[in-house]
Amino acid sequence: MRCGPLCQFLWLWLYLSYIQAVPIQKLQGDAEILIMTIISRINIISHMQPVPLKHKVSGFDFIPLHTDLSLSKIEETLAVYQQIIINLSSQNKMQISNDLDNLRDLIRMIASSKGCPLPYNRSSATLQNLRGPLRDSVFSTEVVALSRLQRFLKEMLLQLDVSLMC
Amino acid sequence: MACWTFCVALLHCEFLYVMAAFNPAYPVTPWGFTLSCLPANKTEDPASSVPGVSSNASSLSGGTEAAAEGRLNSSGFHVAHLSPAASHCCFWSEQGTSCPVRVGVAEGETLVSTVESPVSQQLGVDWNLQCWMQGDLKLFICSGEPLLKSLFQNYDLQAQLFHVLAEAAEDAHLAPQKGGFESVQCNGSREGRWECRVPVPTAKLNSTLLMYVKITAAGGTFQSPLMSARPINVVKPDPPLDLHMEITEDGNLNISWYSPTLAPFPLQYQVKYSENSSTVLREVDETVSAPALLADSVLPGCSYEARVRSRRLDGPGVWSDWSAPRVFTTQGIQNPTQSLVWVVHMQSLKLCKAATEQRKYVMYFPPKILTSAGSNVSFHCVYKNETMIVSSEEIVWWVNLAEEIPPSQYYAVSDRVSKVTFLDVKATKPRGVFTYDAVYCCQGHHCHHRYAELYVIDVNINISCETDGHLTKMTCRWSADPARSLVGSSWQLWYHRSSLYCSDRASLHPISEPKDCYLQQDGFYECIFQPIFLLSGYTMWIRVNHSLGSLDSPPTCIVPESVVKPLPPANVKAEITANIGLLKISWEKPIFPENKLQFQIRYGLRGQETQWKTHEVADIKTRSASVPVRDLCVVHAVQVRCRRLDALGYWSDWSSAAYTAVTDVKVPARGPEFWRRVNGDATKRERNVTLLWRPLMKSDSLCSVRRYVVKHQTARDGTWSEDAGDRTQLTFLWAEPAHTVTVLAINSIGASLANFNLTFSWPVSEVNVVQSLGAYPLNSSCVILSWILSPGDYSLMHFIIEWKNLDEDDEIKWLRIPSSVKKYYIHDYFIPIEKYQFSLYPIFSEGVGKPKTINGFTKARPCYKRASTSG
Repeated sequence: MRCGPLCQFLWLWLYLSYIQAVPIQKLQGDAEILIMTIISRINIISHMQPVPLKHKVSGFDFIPLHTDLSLSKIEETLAVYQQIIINLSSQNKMQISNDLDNLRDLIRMIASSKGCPLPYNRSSATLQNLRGPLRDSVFSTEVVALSRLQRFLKEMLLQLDVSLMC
Repeated sequence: MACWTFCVALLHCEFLYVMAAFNPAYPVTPWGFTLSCLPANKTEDPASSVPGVSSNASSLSGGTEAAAEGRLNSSGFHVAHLSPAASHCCFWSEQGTSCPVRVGVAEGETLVSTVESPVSQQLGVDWNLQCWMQGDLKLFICSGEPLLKSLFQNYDLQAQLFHVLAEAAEDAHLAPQKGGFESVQCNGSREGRWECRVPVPTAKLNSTLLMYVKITAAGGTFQSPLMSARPINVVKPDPPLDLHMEITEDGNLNISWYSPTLAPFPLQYQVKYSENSSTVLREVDETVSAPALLADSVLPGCSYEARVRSRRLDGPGVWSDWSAPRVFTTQGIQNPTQSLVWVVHMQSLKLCKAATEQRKYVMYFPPKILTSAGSNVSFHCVYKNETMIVSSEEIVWWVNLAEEIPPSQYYAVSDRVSKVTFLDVKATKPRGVFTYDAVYCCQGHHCHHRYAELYVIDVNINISCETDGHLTKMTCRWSADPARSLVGSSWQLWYHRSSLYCSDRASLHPISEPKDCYLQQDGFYECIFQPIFLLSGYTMWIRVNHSLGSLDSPPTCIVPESVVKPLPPANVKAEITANIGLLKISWEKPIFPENKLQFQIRYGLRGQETQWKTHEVADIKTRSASVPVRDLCVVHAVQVRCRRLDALGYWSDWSSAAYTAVTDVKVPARGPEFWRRVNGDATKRERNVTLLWRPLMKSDSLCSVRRYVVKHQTARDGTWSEDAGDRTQLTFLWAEPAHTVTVLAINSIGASLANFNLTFSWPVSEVNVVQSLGAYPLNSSCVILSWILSPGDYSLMHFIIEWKNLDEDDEIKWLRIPSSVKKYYIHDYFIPIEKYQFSLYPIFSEGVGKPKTINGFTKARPCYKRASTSG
């Protein structure tokens, strides 16, 4: 165990060299499957009915609504959603959060293989505004957050088929 | 007020200037020194009173006139009576003395503390001081401990360290003028101990730290002279770590350790070790620059205690504290007695314990080995017989006192050490309570009762995982084969999760955590990960913990997404398609996984033990399939399962069975076979004919018959139909020379398309083409009927065989057989002692010909008597 830092470095190096070798087609394919999985997970949440597009619910400005679908923005948006999901009371929230975590890693790897200048460290969103709505209107928060996430993922899915820019 | 402050500052600066100018700072030594504070009227040189300290050494203080303050009472305590007016503090050590010049004392200025002490019979006080830079190079520490602790027992002690950092050594004199001293509060105790900590920036390690201490205790205030130190020169490393002792291959003792992690420069090490037997204690003190020391040859029955400390290799530094002592005991004689013998050592004669009544002993190193199956291990041994170490050339090795080890597996490492190696070891099979193999080092066939123990555990454990159909849980299992484990060992699954995927080669990761697993009834341990990271790589291995150490199984890496066992397809339905007659199955894919799936169908007749047939669905997009089945009119059971198209993961369970309903799928394949019974006088033209037919089987009716219809055709009346309902006979009047009938079967789809017909014709009924007929009983259940036809050109459709028991009032029985056969086996229940009538009717398209009828089975020896012909 005394070689800890060195061993960790060597392991990380080996791991990263392997990761570099993953073809981008596999990354994109896995991202698509994962997105569809998350969408299905949201679908089977019992109280989830998508909020109609023209229906506006106020007080949720902190939940991303329309997002630029560049890789860096996607990663950032997913981080925000992950932070929100963790704080919901929904069933499977931890599983969806884990899926988002994997999805963010995939996006980062796609960005890396495309040579996009994504920050090395993962974004960590902190949401100060979440506490109030969660306390006062849990249901609205869940429905709006999950609906918007689902919509975002569907847009992302379409974009994956075309091409994602840095 | 401002004037007062200015004056104080001015005085302070003046004071520092005087201190710096006339009292060069005492250089802090790495080995510690003493601060002595004495009453002002004492003038004895403190160093002169201390054994081993020369008063001449005072020149080391920089040529300053030593303040030869008289001190020390006759008892040797560093205590003197202080004058009530003032005390004077000096440093002294084995290297010299430093006392400040008492500038201006006459004028009332004080460079050292003046004490107005109620203790006051004014005792002088001595503190042992040591200052050093901590190993992490962040803190400079000075600590003091009074030689006479009792003096402070009833007093709180307060200490302050005043310090300033000068950029370079030559600036040290000027430093105080450039900036004031900063002070830090020190920790003090009632025993008079104190410790001060000064943070030193990394960039200032080469600077000079000027400082002095002010102590308030025992009713007095004591102030040290100025001290100086370059932090980098007084670094005190952390003690060495993980002191370890082992016997080398050639029988020496290897002492090794790790240097402290934060050492900023190469270190030297001082090792103290002692060899301790019941008769001798040998102590060795060596200094080395590598983190290991090879000591002398090891003797059996001795204990070795070692400790080590470190210091900067080149340049000044402070010795670290000693590491925790480590004791290593070699195997030897149990229950040593008072009688001793000399043991010949290879390098010197040494005495180590050996009981005279036990004239042989053996030492194994290592004495026990725990290893995994498939590895290679070695034992060494030293064997003594009588008073001499046995030459290693004479040593042979045995296992379990039963199996001699081939000489190719061992050799002499040195004159006295033999080494045996086991290659590709197999797992130990426990024998009763013994969970190891006993390895003996012997002289020929003479073995000492001591042995080495070899524990081999098979750690080739296969871990298999399965992700559930909801993609939220991964269950991993591994066999807890009791034959694999040894008593006293415990097993635990460890894992590491990488953010995405597995690397090409799974390896043990330094950052890992254990997972709780639970033994199941099937003898497998089961561990559950929930929730999961679908695309992360979970590297897992089993750690076997044994009293001798731990072993790890080869690691395996699993991505949960690749071991999914999907939920079975839902909403499975099965039906036999109308008109087409195929078994059609439809289903819905499970929600997860979202990957492309392949499907497999199995189907069979419903029953207790269904014989399944499987069908692979070729089109992955379709959610239905049709398969041909032989029996359309029975209940079929159907199940569907799925797996990923790329074959990753597992097949799902079979879906719950769906069953077909038996309904008509086609018109009956054919109409029923039928025959007739003609009633009435054969000489009359009009006779009643009763048609007889057997109900259609399901395989022919497809699948049911609602009714039968008899279709008549005569030259005079044309064609007409007669509904027989579900009856299987129908009587009509045969009144014309030719009357053709057809029997149709009707189901919900329609009427049978292929039907039999029979023509009743007066002229044809006189046509006789059967020349002879014979009946030969084989046994009570079979009779052979054979016949010969008359030569001629005629078109026979088929024959009808008719038989009946003449002794019973039975119904006639009949069979339709092809026209091409010349004999036929009739299977029925025959009673040989009774009389039967057999008739063979030739059936022409124009009508039923004249039959040949015989009677058979007369009462005497019926089986061997040929039936007589008639008609």
